[in-house]
Amino acid sequence: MNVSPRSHIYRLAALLVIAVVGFVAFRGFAIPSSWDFEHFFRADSLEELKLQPLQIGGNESCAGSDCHDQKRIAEKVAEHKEHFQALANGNHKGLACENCHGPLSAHVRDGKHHEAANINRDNTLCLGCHAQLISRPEKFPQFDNESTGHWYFDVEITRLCRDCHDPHEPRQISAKRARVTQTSKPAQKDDQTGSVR
Amino acid sequence: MLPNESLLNYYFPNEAEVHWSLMIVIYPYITGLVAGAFVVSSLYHVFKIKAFENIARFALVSAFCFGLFAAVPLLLHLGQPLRAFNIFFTPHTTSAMSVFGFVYSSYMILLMVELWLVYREYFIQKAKETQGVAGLVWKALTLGVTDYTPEAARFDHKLTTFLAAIGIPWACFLHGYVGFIFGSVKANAWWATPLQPIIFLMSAIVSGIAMLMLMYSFIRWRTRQPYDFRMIHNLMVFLWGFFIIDFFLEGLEIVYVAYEHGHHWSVIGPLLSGPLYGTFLVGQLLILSVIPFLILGYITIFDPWGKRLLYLANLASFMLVLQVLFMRFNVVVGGQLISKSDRGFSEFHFEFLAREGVLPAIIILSAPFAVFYLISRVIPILSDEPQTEWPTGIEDQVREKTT
Repeated sequence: MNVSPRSHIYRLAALLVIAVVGFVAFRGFAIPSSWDFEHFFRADSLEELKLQPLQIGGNESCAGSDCHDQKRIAEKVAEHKEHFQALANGNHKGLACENCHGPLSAHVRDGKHHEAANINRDNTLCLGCHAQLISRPEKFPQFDNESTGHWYFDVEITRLCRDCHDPHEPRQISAKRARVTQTSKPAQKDDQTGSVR
Repeated sequence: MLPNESLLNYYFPNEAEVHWSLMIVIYPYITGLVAGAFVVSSLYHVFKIKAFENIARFALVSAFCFGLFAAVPLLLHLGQPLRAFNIFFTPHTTSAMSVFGFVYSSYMILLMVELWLVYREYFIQKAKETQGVAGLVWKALTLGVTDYTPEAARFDHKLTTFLAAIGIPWACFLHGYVGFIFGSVKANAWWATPLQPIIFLMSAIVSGIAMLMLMYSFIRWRTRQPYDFRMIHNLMVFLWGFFIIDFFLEGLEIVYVAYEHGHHWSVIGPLLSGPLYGTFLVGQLLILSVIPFLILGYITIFDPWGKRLLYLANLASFMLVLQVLFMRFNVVVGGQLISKSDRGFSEFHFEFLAREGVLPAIIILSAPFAVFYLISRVIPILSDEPQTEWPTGIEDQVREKTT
């Protein structure tokens, strides 16, 4: 039998065609049915994300809830209202409750109180944003023990911020507490200018 | 010295870690070796340079072995192997990276087809000789066509030439793309230059030829076979030619920016005299470029022969293989050391055992050689008959000198 000198090429071509068809078929199988070719994402993923258990509730879930309206924690209700008020109108209005107090899911589960919200009283959370860093905007408040207030009250970075500042509205300085902790600071003469500081 | 006469090394917190690390350094390096080795095989198949006849198959098999591992560093870098094929299934036409997937896979198919055509005669011979399971495997490799007629051989030869010819622009496309990815990052002064694809391409060819030289010498030494000095000489002439262009372009890129003395230089100047001083200026440009440049020039002009040629060629090739590795490192990592603030540099720290550390990089870089060894156990790669002819007279002169 006379074999064509190109018969091996025909077979190779057939093999390549099978590979391409196989790829196209597998591709059809592999692409999710809800794939959005215009925006390049799987549309169903949005619905699936919604089904995930709630971790972060947002400020609304704290402010709008009636959890703290029960009589036995009446004091807490008043305290919370005060904090919300301060947070909503103050410099920290961009922050969420859960930024400092931990996610809602840790505090409440299945509509019931699970464990107390996290209250961190040391400076870690404050300095996370307010430690001095050259890459921060110049006008952004960063801890400086030479600033007028800090110098006057002799405040070092080890001193608790919340001794004087209310974390919900840091500009609201508890002057009474600050005065109590103030050390008697003698007037110093500036070596270079000779002026009294 | 810091960029823009900054008094303080200023960089943003998210720049402390260099995200494109060693894996992205060796990825263009391996693709470069593919492109370079392929060019050598094409020098014989397309440009009919007879001196490379004996290493054409060897170059092709090497290109294939390197090609098999070209995408492995990316896999390790991205770390989502189950999503590796998504870039093929849902490619975005505006993404250079998704285009790479198709260029790379089509190039590998082209390489495999060319290899198959080159080895078809051998497959047929083995299919006829061998029985049992091995025989079936050989037969499968022939696709069931066990006649090797002169007409079929002629046709195969034509087709191989055609594939080798379209393989050259394809190899350029494959590797030029890698340079394109870096060159098109307009926000990075060290990367953004239209010269980048050509520099990557030229250095790819240099590294490919140099690596072939090292592999050739090693195999000949291990198997105690004679060396083909004429081929080595010609290979070194080509290596010198390509390296002149490569070195010239690499220098041109710097000289251009330095002479313009614009805003790019305010960052690149301190980068070269600071973090990249050792690896770029001293390593890549001074030691690993100037010395091989002179050695290759000597080989080209003064025609050394015998052991002297062998040692010099291997020394130059080894330095150039390193030069290109340094170049990839300096481009990939160097560019990321520049802070987006243009006021400082971050630092690169080598890791050893980490996923993108030195050890995985060594393993990936060794893998093509392991595969090459395995393939060489099954099919003949290097012809055992070296051509040792030399233009009349010169060989005798050299012999006279050495005796």
